Amino acid sequence: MQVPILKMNDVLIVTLGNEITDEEAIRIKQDILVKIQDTGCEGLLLDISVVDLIDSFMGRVLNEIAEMARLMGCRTAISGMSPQVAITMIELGLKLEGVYTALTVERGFDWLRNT
Amino acid sequence: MKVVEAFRQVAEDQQGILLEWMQRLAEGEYELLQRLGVDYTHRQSELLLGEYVAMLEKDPDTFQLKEEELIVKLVDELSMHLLRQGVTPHAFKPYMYALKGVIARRLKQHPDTDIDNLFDGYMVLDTMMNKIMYYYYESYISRREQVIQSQAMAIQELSTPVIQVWTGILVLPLVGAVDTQRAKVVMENLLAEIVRTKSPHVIIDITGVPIVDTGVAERLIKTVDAARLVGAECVLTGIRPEVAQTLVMLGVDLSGITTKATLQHSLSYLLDKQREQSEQSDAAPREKSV
Repeated sequence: MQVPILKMNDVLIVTLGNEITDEEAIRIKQDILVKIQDTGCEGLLLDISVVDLIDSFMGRVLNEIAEMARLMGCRTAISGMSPQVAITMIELGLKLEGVYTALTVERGFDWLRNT
Repeated sequence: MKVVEAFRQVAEDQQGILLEWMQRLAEGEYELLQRLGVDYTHRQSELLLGEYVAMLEKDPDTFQLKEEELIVKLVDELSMHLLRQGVTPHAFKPYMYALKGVIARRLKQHPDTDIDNLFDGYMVLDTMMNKIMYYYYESYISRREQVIQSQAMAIQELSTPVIQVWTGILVLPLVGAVDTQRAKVVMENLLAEIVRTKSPHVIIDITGVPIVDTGVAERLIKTVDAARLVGAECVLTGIRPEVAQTLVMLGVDLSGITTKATLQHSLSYLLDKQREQSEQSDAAPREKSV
């Protein structure tokens, strides 16, 4: 599954869909990092509002993307996490520390541009 | 069959049986009669007696009470009435036994009665009455279950209200013990409400939580973390002095959570924050255009 990475002003926007396999998750991670290097963007917004299931691997990949992006000078916000996903993440002990989590794409975008 | 014949003759005087039965109820102190009133009891008893007498002519081995619509309806209605009046479930038993006594005595006085068919007749009386009794208890208990279930649901809903006090600010007033089961319901409700109202700020007020130990603290932290993941920031308020002492003594780390003294403080803190944020997002486009 090819995931489009959009650039809007200085922010990269990635919408993750359902049913992403482990291999795809790793490829998306690499694509994002390459894109950060190419564009020199300083903000990354991951929208996961359509995702209704996250396993421990996907949770870890999200954390890794945020950490790697930080090393490349790019801040990460995740938006639109659904209640079920949040509860699963907490049960798995994945708190996504160091990532800004926003209710909506709009709020995440505002945060990346303003703070 | 002789017994059936004897029953038929005894049952011919239904009105007499009913009167004697009612008289007995009036003489003895029957809870059922007192609670349901004489008129209502009289009316229902007449119907019930008719059904019971009809039952006596059937074969007790094959008789299925649940297939008899009329008597099922009667017993259901009686049990519902008794439940509503708050009568103990056992009030029905002496009431029915009084009737059995009346009929048994009449059977005994019947001219054709000898020891054999008196015994047979009594067995039939007893078996049929037990069938009614079983059904009554079943009906009473299932109704009570329903009441309990609806009450449990009502309590659960009452115990986890999430109130929107301002645009984008929710308040979760926790009252009572926070056990694992309840914490789960609270968390689910809160997250659903955050997403529904798109509120980025939540105030959790634990003034009404009597005991805060490591377990409760852990559940609170989990709730706060989960709320953060969906994109809402939580402020914890209402920590009483003794609770603060316990938490520090237990070594619970709440450093990741903003805490405020009162609900009022929390609200003004969040309002300030909202103002700040809206100023920022207003300012941003202007910055770009310059």
